[in-house]
Amino acid sequence: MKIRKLAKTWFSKLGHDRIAMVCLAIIGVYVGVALLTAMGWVATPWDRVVGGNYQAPSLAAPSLWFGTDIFGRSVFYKMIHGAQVALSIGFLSALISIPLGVTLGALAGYLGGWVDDVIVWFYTTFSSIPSILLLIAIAFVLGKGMTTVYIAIGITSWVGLCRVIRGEFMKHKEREYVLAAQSLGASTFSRIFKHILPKVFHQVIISFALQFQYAIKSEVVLSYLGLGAQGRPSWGLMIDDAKLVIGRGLWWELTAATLGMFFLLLALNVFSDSLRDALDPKLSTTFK
Amino acid sequence: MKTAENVLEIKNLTTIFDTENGPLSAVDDVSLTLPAGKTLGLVGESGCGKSVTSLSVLRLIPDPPGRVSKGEVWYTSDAGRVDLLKLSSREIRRIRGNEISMIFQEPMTSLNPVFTVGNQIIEAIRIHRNVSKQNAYETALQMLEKVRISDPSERMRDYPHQLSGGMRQRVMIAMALVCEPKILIADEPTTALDVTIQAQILELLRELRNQMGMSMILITHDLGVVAQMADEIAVMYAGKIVEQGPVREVFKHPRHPYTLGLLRSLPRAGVLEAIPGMVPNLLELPPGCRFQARCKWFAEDCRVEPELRSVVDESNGDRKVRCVRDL
Repeated sequence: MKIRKLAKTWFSKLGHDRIAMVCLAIIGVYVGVALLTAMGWVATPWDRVVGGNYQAPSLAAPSLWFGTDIFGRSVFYKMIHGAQVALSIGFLSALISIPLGVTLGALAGYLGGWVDDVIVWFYTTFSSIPSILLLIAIAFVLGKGMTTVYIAIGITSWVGLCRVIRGEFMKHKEREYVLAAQSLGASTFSRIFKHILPKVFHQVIISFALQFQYAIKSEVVLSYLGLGAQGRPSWGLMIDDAKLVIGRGLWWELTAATLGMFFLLLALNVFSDSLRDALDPKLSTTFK
Repeated sequence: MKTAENVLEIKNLTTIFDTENGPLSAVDDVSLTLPAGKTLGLVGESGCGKSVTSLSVLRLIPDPPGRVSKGEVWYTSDAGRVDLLKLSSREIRRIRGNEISMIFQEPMTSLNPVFTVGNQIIEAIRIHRNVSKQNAYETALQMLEKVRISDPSERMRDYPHQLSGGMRQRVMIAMALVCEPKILIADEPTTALDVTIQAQILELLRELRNQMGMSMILITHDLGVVAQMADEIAVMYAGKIVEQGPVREVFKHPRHPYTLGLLRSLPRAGVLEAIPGMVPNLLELPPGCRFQARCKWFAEDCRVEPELRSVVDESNGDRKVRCVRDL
């Protein structure tokens, strides 16, 4: 089938990009670890006391690789569990923000007129509020907890995608194939979602990868402010805990959280760039 | 064959585009009739309102900036007689592609680039017919055979960019005709194709028209195409109809200076006459006849808007002309 051939060119493009493959492997490791901790197969239980409080890192046991925290719990285990929170937030917030951005962008771009005015007004107003402020406000309204974090991050991050999709739709609605579809009796809904959306879908895939980073960073900020994860380890909480003791030279909790975040974010960043190169036909320089 | 009832009657159609410099009537008080089983050639140079007329019929004018401000479009089918301009958007969608289909000038851009040809024809079927994908696939395959695409089952899996211009236009025709419409509006179907392909596509259209008993509105600026294909002709100039009648009569004895100019500007041995001047700006029309600036019969009495008057002549056809002179 032809579609399989197309997917094959994408994959071969990505596959030839060695750095992208390394990044994908790193992301894969994170996902694997998150799944294993979710199943309770590794690093469990994370809140078991494994040594004295603030014990320095040692190679004696895996649980002591990054030392212990104030209660003598393993920092390494907490770091591993942090991946689960980070990835679930990246994924679930994307499930909220992407449909929102795509739908509003598509409607604004295709329908134009007052619909466009309303949506553009809405997102310019929305994006003029600093997103941290908005995150905090939403977290206060909805109360603390993970659900809040998913929703808050989801509904503060759709504007960029919405703009891109709106622009693409404004461009494509003028194309003759859309008029041709209309002349064959296709409804407005089907013209928007069946005829034009597949043409701009690579933007959605790219934005999905970018959304992950934004979400993970935002979670850290929220947790740092005490509005994020409750009763389970997250990188933001770890940084929040570490800030009190970093002055006393207890560096390992901060280091562990930062390293956990750093590799995931770097991998996601590089991978989304490669994804853009592979999926966006306008950026491709070679024809194969 | 059928009786000579009219499947489509356009009455006093006026389509206005709101521009920054004020409203512009791209189609001004146009009336046309399309008898069942006949082909009407709609002729004129670029920007004279041919395409807008046909888009108005199916209510495909982008709104804003365009709107049909006046007129009626009566469509007669087995189910009765309806004014297309008064239908709800759901009802007009049922007509589009099903009862009245359209094909466009640019086969390069009229197909969706991200779907296979088969996919698009199947969708065209399933918009209007409640059939399974399997049945739709069979129908699509037969249709591709009908438009003489070789190796149709292979072509079904191709994307538009893999086909040549002529093939794409055949696919467009297949999509437009797969629901067996009563009327086909062909908007310059061969303009973007080279001459040999043009001849093939016209031949194909004629054959399918006769086979399916369709009526056709053929929009073109190529008088050769009209002579080959059409029964009736309507010549448009600057948004108005300036002359209409049976093709033979009009070609034999054109009665409007513009029609005459068009016919003379066809390349013939040695002579190639052009009509001097340009189409007037629709926002700055002179009072009276719209062709006055380019007409060699121009006189003071042309400053009054001429009527579209009936002409009686030996041929006994129904002829009309918008000119005060008797050419």
